[in-house]
Amino acid sequence: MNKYNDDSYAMLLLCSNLSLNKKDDTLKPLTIVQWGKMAEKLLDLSLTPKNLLDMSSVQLKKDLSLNEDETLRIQSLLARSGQLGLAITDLSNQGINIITRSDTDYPVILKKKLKKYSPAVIYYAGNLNLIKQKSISVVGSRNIDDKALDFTVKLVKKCCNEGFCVVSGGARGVDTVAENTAINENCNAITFVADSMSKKIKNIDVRQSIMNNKRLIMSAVHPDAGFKSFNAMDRNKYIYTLSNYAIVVSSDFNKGGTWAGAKENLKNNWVPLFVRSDINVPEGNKKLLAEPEIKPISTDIIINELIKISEWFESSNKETVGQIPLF
Amino acid sequence: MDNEAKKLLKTMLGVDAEFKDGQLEAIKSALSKNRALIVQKTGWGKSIVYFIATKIIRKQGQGPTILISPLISLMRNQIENAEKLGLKAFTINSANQEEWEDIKQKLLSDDCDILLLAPEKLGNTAIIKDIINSIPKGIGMFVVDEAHCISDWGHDFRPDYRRIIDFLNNLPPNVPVMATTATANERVIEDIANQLGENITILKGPLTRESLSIQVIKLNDQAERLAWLAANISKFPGSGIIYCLTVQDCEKVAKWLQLNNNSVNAYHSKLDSEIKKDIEIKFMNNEIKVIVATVALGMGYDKADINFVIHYQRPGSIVSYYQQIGRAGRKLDNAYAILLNGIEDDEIQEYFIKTAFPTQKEMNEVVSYVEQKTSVRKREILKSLNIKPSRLDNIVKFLEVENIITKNGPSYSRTLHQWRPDLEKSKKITEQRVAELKEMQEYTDVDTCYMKFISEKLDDPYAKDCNKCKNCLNKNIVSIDIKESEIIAATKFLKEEFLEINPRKQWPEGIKAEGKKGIRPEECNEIGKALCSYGDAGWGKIVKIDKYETEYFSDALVDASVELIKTWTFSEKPSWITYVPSLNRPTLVKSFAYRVANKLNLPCYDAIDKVQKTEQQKTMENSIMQCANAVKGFSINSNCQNGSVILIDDMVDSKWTLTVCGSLLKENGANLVYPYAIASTAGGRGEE
Repeated sequence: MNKYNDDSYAMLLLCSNLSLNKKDDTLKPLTIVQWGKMAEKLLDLSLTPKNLLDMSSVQLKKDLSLNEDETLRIQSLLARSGQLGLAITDLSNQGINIITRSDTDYPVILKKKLKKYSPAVIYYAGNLNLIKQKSISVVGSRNIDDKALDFTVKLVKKCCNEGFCVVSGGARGVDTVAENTAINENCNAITFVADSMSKKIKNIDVRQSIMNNKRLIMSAVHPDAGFKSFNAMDRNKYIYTLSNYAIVVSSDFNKGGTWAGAKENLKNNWVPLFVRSDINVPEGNKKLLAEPEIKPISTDIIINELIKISEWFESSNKETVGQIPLF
Repeated sequence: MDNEAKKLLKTMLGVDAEFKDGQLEAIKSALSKNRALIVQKTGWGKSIVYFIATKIIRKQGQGPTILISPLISLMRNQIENAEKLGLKAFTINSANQEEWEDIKQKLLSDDCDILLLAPEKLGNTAIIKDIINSIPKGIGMFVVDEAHCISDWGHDFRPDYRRIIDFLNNLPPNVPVMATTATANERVIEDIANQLGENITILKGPLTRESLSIQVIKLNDQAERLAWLAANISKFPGSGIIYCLTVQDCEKVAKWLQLNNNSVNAYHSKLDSEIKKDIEIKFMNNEIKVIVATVALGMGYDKADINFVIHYQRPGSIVSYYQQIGRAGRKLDNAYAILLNGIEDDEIQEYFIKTAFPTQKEMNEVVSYVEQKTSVRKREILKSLNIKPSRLDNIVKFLEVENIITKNGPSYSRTLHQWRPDLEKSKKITEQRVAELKEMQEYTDVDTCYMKFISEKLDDPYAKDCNKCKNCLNKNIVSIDIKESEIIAATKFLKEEFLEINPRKQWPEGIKAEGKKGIRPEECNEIGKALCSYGDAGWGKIVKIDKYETEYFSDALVDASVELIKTWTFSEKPSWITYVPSLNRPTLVKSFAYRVANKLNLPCYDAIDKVQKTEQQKTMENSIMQCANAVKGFSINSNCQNGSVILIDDMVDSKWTLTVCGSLLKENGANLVYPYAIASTAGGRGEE
C-alpha cells in the first residue's frame, strides 16, 4: 500500500530537494512562487498535480505553456521518482513523515493565512493533531537575560495550565526554554525548526516526548538541511500562523528574526501579537509596544491568579480569511 | 512493442531465439510501468526478460534499471550476462569501494544501463544521497531478484529485503517494478504479493525441471558419506557442486576430496571476496571439477553446464533443496541431483531454526539500552549487555530493518517507531520451519517420483512424474556401495582433524586499561592445539559423551592427545604440564592432565588456583565479559615452575581463560606457554 497519494508524489518531485543530489545536481526544485504559478495553470485546466506524472513533453509545453528549458526542468524533476522513493523511505525509517499542500492532513490554518506562501511540503515527526489545539507562539532572541527567562517560564506554565499548546522555533534561548517548560509541565509543544530536524529528533528528551504524543516537530526544509537565515525567516511565518496568539518575549530593535517576524505579523495581521512590557525590556520591545495594534503583556498579568489568560487573550481582533490555495 | 522486443531477443540470443511462455507478457508489464511478480523455474530466462525491458526503457530515454540482488557472486554473474547482451552493468557493493567514484561518474553521464545493488544498500543513506541521487534521468525500472527473500515465511528470508518493501511502499507509480523468483510456494507468493502492494500481477509457470535425475542415498555417519564421495565423485561427468550445511563441513569435505586427488575448492562466506571470485571464474571455465559450498554459492549462480549437485547433508526445506538442485542442468539434457543424508542433519537444522531469529529477550534488552541514550556504539552495548558480537549484529540488523533503531556512521539511535514485537508471528514462523523440515524428512522416505513430490510441495499445478529419478526408474542412478577400506580411511581423516589455537593479541576495554591494550610478548601464549571440534564426527562426539555423561575423559582421548602433542614442534620443549582448575568438576580436567603428563613423562603441577566461583565461561557472550570473568577467577600458587609449560583445558571457545591463565603463568616464572584443549567449541556451527 502506498503511503502517499499521487498528487503528493508530484509535488514532492517538483517542490522538494529530496530526490536531488546536493553536490552534483544543477537541477533545482521549484520555488514556492514558481509552484504557485504552476498550480494556477493546473487549476485553470481542471487538473491536479498527479496529472503531470503522465504528461509528455509536448503536452507540458503546449498545455502548460512552458518554454523549452522549463519543460526540461519539469521532466527531469518528475523523472526522479525512484530517488524520491528512496528518500521518503529513509525519512520514514527515522519516523519522519511528509505532508504536502495537496494532503487533507495539511494544516489548513497555514493555507488560510499564508495563501500561496504556505510551504508546499512539510516534514514532521510526532502528533500532527497538536495543530488542532489552541496555542500560543512564544518568540524571542537567542540570548536572553534572567528576567526574560523567568517571564517565559511563567508564561508557558500559565498557558499550559489553561490547555494551550506552545509553538516555538526550536532555537537557543526563548524558544528552547518555552518548549522545554511546556514538556516539563506535561503539556504539548510544537516546534517548527528551520534546520537539522533529523538531528533534533534523535535527542533522547525530544524523542521521548514525541513518542508520548506530547511533541510535534515540523520543518519546511529537508530534515538534514543546515542553518540558513532565510529559512529561519520563513520559519517565523509558520510559527505565527500556526498559533492563536503570539508573544514576543524580547526583541532587538530593527534587527534579528524576532523583530522581522513581529513586523511581518503586524503587516499581514496573522495573529494578535503581545509583547512583554516589564521594566528594562530590550529596545525592540519598547519600539514594538509603540505600535497601536500590539498589546503589552507583563509579568504582573501572568502572576495574577485572578486573570484567566485565555479570556485575557480573547480581547484581541478577529482574523479575516480570503481565497485559499488547493495545493 | 512486441516486434521491438522480438528483434532484441534475436539480436541478443541469435536469429532462432523465440520467447518462452510468459516472457513477452512480463516485458510488456514493465513497459506499461506495472508491478509484476514472476515465478518461473531456473533456466526459464528471467534475466533476459529484464535485460530486454531495460534496453527498451533506455531507448525511450529513461534512466538505468536498479537490480537488487542478494549475493555478490550472483551480481558478478549477472553483470557478465548483461555485458554479453550489450548492456552496461555495474555494481556497488562492499567489496568494490574503490570503484564507486568511477561508477558514479558513469551514472552521472548516463553511461550505465543496469546498476546492481545488495538490498542493504537501500538503507545506506550516503550511497543514496551521493550516488543514486546523481542519476540524472532517474531510475528507469526497479528489479528485485530472488524475491522470495522478502518473505520471512520463505526458506531464505533476508532481513535486508525488508527495506525493499518499505521502498516499494514509498515509490511513486511511474516506475515499473519486476520481482522474480524460481522458488516459492503459494504461501510465500501470497506473502510477497501482499507486501509488494495490491496492484501487483503474478506471472507463474510450471516448475518441473526436466533435465534432473534425482536419487536419495541414506548413509549413517560422516565417514560413510566421505567414503561414498571419494569413491564416486570422479565417476560424475563434468563439474558439479557439493552442498554442505556449515562452513566447517564445507572445509572438511573439500580437504578430504583434495586428499583423494580431486580438483576441489571450498566456497563459503568466510572466504575473501577475491578468493571467491577466483573460484567462481575457475569453476565457470571448468578448471575445477567440484565446488564444495554452503548456501553462499546458490541463488542465481548461472553456470549452464553443471552436471551434478550433491547434498552432503539434507537442507532444511523443500524450497531451498529445489533451489539448490536447480543449479544443475540448466543447458544440459541430463544432470544429477544426489541427496546424501545422515544422523547429524536434523541436529544442525534444529539449531538453525532455533537461532534463526533473535529472541524477544535479547531484542528487548538492546532496545531498552539504546532507548536510554541519544546515540550509542555497538562496543558500548557489548560492554553492558552479555551478548555475542555476532548475535548483536543480528539483533541490530533486525531492529534496523524494522526501523526501531537507525544507524548514523558508527552509532545507533532509537527511531520514533513504537517497538511492538510480533510474538505470535515469530512463533508461527518457527512452527512453519519445523513443518518444512518434516517435509524434507518425508521426502527422503518417499517411494514415488521425487520431482513430483517437490513440485507438489511447491504448489505447482503442473506437477507430474519425471520418469528419470531413482523412484520412477526403480533402480539406482548412481552406485550406493562403499568400500570398508574407504570408511576406515575417512574415519582416520576425521580423527586427525585437529585445530590450532591462535593466541589472543589484545586485552579488551577495561581489563588492563580504559581502552583496548595490546597483549605484550611477555604475557602472550604460543600457538596452541585442540584435538577436535566439539560434537563433530571423529573425536568430537566422544568428548561430548565423556564430559556430560561419564564425566571422565576416556583413555582414548588421552592417547590421541599424547599422539598429537608428540607431533608438535615446540620452539622450546615444555618441561612441565599444568591445567585449568574448576570448582564445579574438580577432577575432570585434572585427571586428564595428569594422565597425559604421565604418558609424556612430564611432571604435572597444580599451579593455578580457582579463587572464586565465577559464572560459567560459556555463558559469557562477548570478549569484554569473558575476559573480565576469567580475570576474576584465577590466581597462581607456589607450584608454578620455570621453563616452558603445556596448559591443558577441556574446551576452548573464546580463549580468554587460556589467555588469562597463560599470562599469569608467565608473570610467575613460566617461560613459554603452550595451550592445549581437547575440543574447540569456537565458531558455533559456522552457519551461513
